[in-house]
Amino acid sequence: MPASLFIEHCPNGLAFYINGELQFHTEDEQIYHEYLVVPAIALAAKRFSDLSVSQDNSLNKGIRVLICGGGDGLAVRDVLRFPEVSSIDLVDFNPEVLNLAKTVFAPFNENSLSDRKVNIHCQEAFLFLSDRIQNIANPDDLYHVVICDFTYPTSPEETRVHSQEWFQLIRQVLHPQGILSDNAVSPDCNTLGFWCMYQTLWSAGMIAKPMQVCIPSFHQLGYGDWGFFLAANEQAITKAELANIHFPNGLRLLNLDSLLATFCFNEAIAEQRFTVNIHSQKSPQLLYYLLNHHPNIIESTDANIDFLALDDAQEINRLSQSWMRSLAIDPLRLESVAKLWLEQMQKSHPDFQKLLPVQNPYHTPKMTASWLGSVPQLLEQINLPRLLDRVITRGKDLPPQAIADLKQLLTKLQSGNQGEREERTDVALNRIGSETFQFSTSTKLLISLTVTMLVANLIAPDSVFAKGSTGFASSGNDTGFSWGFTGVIITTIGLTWLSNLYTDSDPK
Amino acid sequence: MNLHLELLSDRDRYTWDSMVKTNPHSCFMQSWTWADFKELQGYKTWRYGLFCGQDSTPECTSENLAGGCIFYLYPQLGGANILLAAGGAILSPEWAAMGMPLLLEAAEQLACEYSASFNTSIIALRIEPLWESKPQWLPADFVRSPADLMPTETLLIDLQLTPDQLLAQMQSKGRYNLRLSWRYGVTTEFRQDDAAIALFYDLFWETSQRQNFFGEPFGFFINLCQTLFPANMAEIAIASWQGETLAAILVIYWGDRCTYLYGGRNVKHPHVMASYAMHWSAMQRAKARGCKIYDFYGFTTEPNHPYFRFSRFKQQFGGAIAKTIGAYDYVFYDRLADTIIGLLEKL
Repeated sequence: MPASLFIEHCPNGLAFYINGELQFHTEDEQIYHEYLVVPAIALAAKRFSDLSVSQDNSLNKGIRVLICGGGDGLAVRDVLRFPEVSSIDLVDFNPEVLNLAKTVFAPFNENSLSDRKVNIHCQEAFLFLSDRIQNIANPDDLYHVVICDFTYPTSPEETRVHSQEWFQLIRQVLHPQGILSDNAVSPDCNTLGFWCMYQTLWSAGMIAKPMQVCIPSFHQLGYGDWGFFLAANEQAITKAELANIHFPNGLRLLNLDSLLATFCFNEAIAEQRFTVNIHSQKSPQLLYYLLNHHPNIIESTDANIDFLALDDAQEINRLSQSWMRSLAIDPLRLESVAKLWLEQMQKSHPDFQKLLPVQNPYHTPKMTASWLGSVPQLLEQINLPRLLDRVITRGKDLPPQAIADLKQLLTKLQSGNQGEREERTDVALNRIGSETFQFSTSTKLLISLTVTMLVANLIAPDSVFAKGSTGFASSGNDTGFSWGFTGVIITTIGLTWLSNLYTDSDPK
Repeated sequence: MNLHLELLSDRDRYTWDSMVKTNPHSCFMQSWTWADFKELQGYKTWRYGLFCGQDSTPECTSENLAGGCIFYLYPQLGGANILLAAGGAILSPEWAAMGMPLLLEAAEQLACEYSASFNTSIIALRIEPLWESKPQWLPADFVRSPADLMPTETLLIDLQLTPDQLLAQMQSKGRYNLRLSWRYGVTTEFRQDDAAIALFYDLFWETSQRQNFFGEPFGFFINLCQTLFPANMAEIAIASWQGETLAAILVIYWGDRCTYLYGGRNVKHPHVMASYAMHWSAMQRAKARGCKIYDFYGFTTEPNHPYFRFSRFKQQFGGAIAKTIGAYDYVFYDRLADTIIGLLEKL
């Protein structure tokens, strides 16, 4: 996927953006990189203190570090603060970023990529790890620290390196006592996305501790506090262990007190960690949470939770209960959305945001509300008899009863006057609010159609209203069925329900 | 005579752009560079050219290029998608009736293959040509879309007029405000550098918040400018007074048209009428670049329309209202049926 790299030269340094997302501002990038790098390497230096770097600085001794992403060279700079480190593998797929690191960013990363300890791999990280696993012959081939420094994910492909499968790969290349440091998202602005990452780490077998740090340039862009995870492969990280780590000289902000404080989270925000699903390639949940973050829904309390003080066994017990929920639910998939519609139709006050999740980075809940009010116009586009005919012809594997239902609906649509048609469909199809609520195939079809049309119109970032057009067709002349069809829809899926839904969702 | 559809490659870039630029209903959204920009935004693109000739396989040259279309798709696995053709299809009048079915066939085949390969469904094609009326030859299965990608009504200024004629056709209040901006000494500069993007964006964002309209994020403009600036297809105009930046616009140059796509201003010093000086300068600059039309990109006379307030400002410059037919959808019923069947099997 192509990437847009943008350097903004400011009076106080430079800011670097990838695809419009701020990666760092030289004024305060040290804060970010200190928290991402120093605790992990310092912990490893303690845990692997028997691995001394030999006099000739042999690359087979000392701490071995893998940095995934981080092509700007800034994380490498901070890893190189530790003489205990013998080699660094840097994997970044973007040659342009690597080139900038060697030129424009060199004054800021202190020419880190030219250090002889650094091996640069211009490759996709997932592939690199998969290959690496094949070549592990003995424990000396394992890394002592893995640092993930990826860009903020905005597409399904970019969420791969935050999946359960990804962390399972990392565990295979990481020493059993090794440390993972992972760049996350904002715990206060993207609370559910942050905890989704946390749950995913635990589900892959890592023992993860969340961290949050204030980075002024991120705050200025509305990114909120920034999140990280410090995770252990097998041996949990404790407060006592952190209290004994050695901090290198010349750090800008990081010290023991500030580090320990980063593991404390407001209780209200922390409790959200049990409400999310894990993110895997089979069930990619992370993008859903990042797109549907609904800021400000969580009210802070006075209480805090210190994650270093939590009982890890108890934590995994509580988390595992929520993992069961994760199975095969993907709210961005059509089938999940359609199922939610059927569930929510039985509620007098359905959750309209669940009915139609935000689908792309430019889509907003406000747009969802507008589109919900446009369902009749969306459906008028469709020639329902023609669609039914195609479904009946192509749906050979549908149950016979389902086909019979659809044929019956087709017959009704093609016969008689509109009043008769509506009367018949009203009898044949479900009535909203019935206690014994059984959806007929016809109702499921119409719900499926509604959801499909809504999702299709909302998936693309271009589906915005700001272009100034009212857009909707003013007459049904183009569709042979127009208002008669709307009558059927209204009878079927419930005018009251739909109009209440629209009223409830109206942001005004 | 024969018409032949070809998937274009990068070497066809200039041939394609030349054809699109000279088509009377062309649009920058069908330019090669715009498609590059949309790819940065995560879209997939398919660029089809229609070639005409005597042979059964006409030579793919600029002389033989009779139309085509760039299709855009924002892929979402497990979802339902619409294939988009903002500003397309592009068809020369003599080949339109023959060309459209070929493009439709290509789009439907694309939908079929892509849906099967990527576990998703493309249920329709949405075209949005800049036609003033729906042509007879457009297949009846095209139905009016529920939403447009571009404004269907806009205000066009004829840049072939002399400056005096342009002034004369302005509304008196507009002319007064423009002269006021000159008297105050508002200056305008046109830029294509990275620093201008941030300057522009600050004003754009401030305006979107103030006017409560949906504004694209900074990253959108970084991608847009970094793609369009090197192609000399866009500029940012910045209006300043006494060293302060008061207003900025982003204009697109394509063919004989300069389109004012985005803009913003701050609330400081409204009395110096910086926006008037800026648009006037933009018109003069577009004229100097050979443009014949300055497109205000969106206009309405309906008081309840969200564009009404902006339109009153634009109206001060005179010009003529132009209307296009908007977006039309062609539903791929087989694909839609398969999608519905897939859902019925799981519900």
